[in-house]
Amino acid sequence: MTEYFKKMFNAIKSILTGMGITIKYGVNPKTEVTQQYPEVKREPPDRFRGKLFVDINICTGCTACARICPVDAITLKTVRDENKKLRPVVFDIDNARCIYCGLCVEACPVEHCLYFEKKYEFSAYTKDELISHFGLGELKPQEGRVEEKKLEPKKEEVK
Amino acid sequence: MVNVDERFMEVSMGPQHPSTHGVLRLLVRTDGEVLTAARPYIGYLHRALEKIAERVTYPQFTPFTDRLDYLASMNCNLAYAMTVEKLLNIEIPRRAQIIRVIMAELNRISSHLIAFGSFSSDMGAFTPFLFGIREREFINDLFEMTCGSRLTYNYIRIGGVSKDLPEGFIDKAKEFLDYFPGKLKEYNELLSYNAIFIKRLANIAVITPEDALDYGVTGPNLRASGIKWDLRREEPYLIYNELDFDIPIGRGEMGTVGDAWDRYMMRIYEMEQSTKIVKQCLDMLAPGDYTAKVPKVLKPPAGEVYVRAENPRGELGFYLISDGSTKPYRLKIRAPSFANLSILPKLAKGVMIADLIAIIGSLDIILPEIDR
Amino acid sequence: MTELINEIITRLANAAPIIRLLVVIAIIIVSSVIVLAVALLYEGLATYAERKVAGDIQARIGPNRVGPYGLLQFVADGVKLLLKEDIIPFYADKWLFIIAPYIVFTASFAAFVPLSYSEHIYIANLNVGVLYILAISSVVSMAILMGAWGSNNKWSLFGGMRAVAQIVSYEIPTVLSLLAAIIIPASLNMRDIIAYQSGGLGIFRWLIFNNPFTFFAFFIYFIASIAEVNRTPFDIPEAESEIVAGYHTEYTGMRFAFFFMAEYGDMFVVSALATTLFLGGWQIPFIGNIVMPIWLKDILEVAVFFGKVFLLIYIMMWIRWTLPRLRVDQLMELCWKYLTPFAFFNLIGASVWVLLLHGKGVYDIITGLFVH
Repeated sequence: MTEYFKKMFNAIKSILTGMGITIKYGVNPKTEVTQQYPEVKREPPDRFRGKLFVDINICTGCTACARICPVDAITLKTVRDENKKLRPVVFDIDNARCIYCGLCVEACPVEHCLYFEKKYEFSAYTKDELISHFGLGELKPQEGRVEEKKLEPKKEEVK
Repeated sequence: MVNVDERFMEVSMGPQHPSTHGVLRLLVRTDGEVLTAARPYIGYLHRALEKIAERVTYPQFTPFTDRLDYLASMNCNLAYAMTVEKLLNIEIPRRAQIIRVIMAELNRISSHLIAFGSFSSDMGAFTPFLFGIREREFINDLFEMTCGSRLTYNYIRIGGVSKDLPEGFIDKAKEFLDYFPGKLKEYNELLSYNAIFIKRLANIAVITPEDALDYGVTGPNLRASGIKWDLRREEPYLIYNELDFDIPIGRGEMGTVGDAWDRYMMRIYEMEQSTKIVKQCLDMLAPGDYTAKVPKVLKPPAGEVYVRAENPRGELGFYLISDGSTKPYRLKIRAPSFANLSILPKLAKGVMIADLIAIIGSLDIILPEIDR
Repeated sequence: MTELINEIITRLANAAPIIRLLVVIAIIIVSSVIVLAVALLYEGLATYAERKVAGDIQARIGPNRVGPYGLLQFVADGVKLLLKEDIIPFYADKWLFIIAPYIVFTASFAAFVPLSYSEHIYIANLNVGVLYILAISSVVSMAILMGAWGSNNKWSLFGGMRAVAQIVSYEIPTVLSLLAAIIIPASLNMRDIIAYQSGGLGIFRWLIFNNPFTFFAFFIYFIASIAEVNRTPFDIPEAESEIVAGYHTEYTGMRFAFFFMAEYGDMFVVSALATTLFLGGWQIPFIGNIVMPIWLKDILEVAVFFGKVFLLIYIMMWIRWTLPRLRVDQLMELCWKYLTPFAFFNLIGASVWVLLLHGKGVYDIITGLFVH
């Protein structure tokens, strides 16, 4: 018989303790942690892995990034220009395939050539819009693109 | 389940269900409200990770290990890195080891927070899930500051870690660790010792120690049955042998040893222990290298190795056969949730449907690991 | 409102019978539409309030985008539900499936009739008001079973059977605890009960303070009524994480909204019954005998009534977001082993008190001591 009452008493006590905790949250508006998103956007930290960006002018066309990418998101085609240097003609990054792992950024030997921007809002309506074309020979205007330079390839050596 | 018996009702808790922690299909045979059999069907999330491992090189496979158990990503990275390092015989610098331990333990806390949250929302108390997510945001901010990502970190690499800790990490981590034990106390008052919660879980789905060893159950589930087995103590890796922490085991406080409440409470205790570990590690940090010198093209010698680590969900093992080339010959992943799920049909005999949800939640399985 | 109708009818005593009939029908339709509009507005705002209260408790903000402070959220929800595709499962029992939500809503809405919101504002002065409310609320359980069976879905059938068992069992503590309060004013008429509780500074003659047995009866009634309305911790019939929405799994669009709105309507009715019987209805506390115009007093009384009802509804929502769910057999155990014996002995004690003290409450005894 005492078990019966003890069980009941413990139950009521634990339920009231629990309710005491939630009511503290319920009546105190300072406990709200929501950030109203489009009006308040948090600044991502420096090492944030967002959208990839290539400064195509200093790219040496070594294809280290394309070789190390685990999912083959980078397409790279290079030609030799008049100074016998490799320049990337086609440098496509498929943002839909990319898993934002950062292996390519670490593999790139040039300082500050391939890096992550702090962008995370780049949805599109078609899959083609998600491919960033950084190559020098492309005609499509893209964000982060430099002015096109028409190269005259002496030898069509496509790697 | 071929014979159609009219006394029993066969229901499929199909791949889409709010409580099966992923795409798990359970074919459940019930007699009224009481179950007579429950058979799991898996494979809905199979992505052929082990086959991919034969196609990519060793460093390239690290992002894939993130996606094995995405809630404990650092720990999966760690197990894989340790496997390749054992084959290559690389010595990891001390600072890298301490950073690895910090990251692994913080990830253990965040994984247990999700386990705690989703388990409580299965039980019908929706509030602790959001509290758990709020705590987890702090950990995610710490990780984002370090490696740039909030879920799939790709941080622990072969040879060390990919980047050093940023400025301000230690202060922010200490702030979080001061704030967190108060929250654990709150969770205990709100949910763990709540009479209704205890009534739902006590004496349900008791895993006896013999059964646990027979079925290969590991992790908090094994410790809840009373067996004191933690890989961080038995086969210490990194610097765990220098750290001071307890291994909590189930004592049957609210019912039998090894029931669902014990398994749930294990995770709460382990979160406390992990905060202790991280505090010690933060004090032990000294300047040094954050990675060893690893050749750019990794060609381990031919051989095979099996390395296991203590994941939040159990024991994650990587069995690697290398034939001397840059790509693995065979990589077999021993997923903890796979073995933990195998005990489900045995536990599910004679319980009610509501208890089945409690059992799945207390085992804390995650489907990407099971299906790989 | 009956007086208004009587007045109109006497004025029309000279008109032709057909005009009188048409006027009466018009009055009935107009008053029903008014009450329906108020009830629907309440139910819409109740869904909004539930989400806001849930947000407050879970450390987040609820809806705040649609309209000022998110107040028009229920309009957006209503429009969305109206525009959804109306799916009736192929093998469903069409008639049962279609009629069930209408019956649930009608029953819940019909229970609004005997409530009186102030001294002069009421819809109908039923002599058996309390009995009528209890009887109509029981129709809900039958309609739930109709909906569950007509859905041709095993999960729905589970939910429906559990719902019927639960509602029918919890009627008994409800009625027993209400009886402990009804024997004091000795009337089932809601307005008479509230009139009995007047005086005593507007607060001390409430039936809850009358004797310790009615005090306990209030709590027993409150707990049993949460079970009647299928709210957590007793929301087994619609346990969304276990049986995927239970008896209203197969309902889409507005039919689903009917079940939902009926639940909030039931909450209002049950809280209004508790307020009327235990908390003094529309008696304004601490107002004494201040002279004020009748319309002002009516408005204050309506405000006080709604204030008390909304306080009880807030407590129901607070409980929902705190406690986990009870399993079916534990729910039945709570009813039959705990609530019913307590309610029974409570009733015996209250009857003995009324017998010995001739219906005088604690307040009456204390003032009686000081007067003589």
